[in-house]
Amino acid sequence: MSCYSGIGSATLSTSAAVTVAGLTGGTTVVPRIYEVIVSSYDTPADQSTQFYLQRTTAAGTAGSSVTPTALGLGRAALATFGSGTYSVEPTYDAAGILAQFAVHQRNLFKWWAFEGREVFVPATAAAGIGVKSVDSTQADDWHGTVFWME
Amino acid sequence: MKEDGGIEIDGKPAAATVQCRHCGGHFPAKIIKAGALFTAEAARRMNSLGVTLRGYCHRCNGPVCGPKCAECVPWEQQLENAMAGRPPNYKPVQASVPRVIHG
Repeated sequence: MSCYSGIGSATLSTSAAVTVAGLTGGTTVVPRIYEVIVSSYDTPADQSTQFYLQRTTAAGTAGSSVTPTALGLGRAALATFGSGTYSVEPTYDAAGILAQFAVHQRNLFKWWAFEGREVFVPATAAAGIGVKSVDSTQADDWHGTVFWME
Repeated sequence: MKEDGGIEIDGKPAAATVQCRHCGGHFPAKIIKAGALFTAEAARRMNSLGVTLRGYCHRCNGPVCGPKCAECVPWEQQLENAMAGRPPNYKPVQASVPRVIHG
């Protein structure tokens, strides 16, 4: 198992869901996400955003493709990582909401899982997990950092 | 209940999370009120009214995130179903055969 990270960023919307970061696996890999960090790099304000960690069935078209960073001396990642602003949002599985959290714009939010309790991406073509803003009180700029192992 | 993860805000621990043994999702661990037991149908009704209800699967011996995971399909089975292209709630038929005792 090797560990990787990817950093996505996007400008949120007050009227539509926006994907900040998207991890997509494939038929030869089962990525296991063990940590997600979200924070805003916009002018501090008293605003909030609701995020979902949600399964995707199609990767969409990311604003930019990010080369995952290997955290050890391992091989290059097999999973792919996309950063906002997506021109075509990923296709989300409505029944696949794995976590939801509301974050104040001035805070740095981190979710992590113990070993063996990560959220898995199945080894299916185009399956993945996205960090998505579903509701925001202001269209701020946010980062989403995802750590996974594969 | 043993925690499966955690949430930090600005570097300070804010909550523990537990993992649903069916879908694999994480949700904040909360103290369960004594006597608060509902059937799956009652839980679905309350959920549709906006009440967040969690549950416990005695077969998987762990928490479940809510009425949508009321049917016992362990996350390992769901992962296998996704990879094999089966319906998400597919479960193989399990049968036990009593041991034959030769007289």
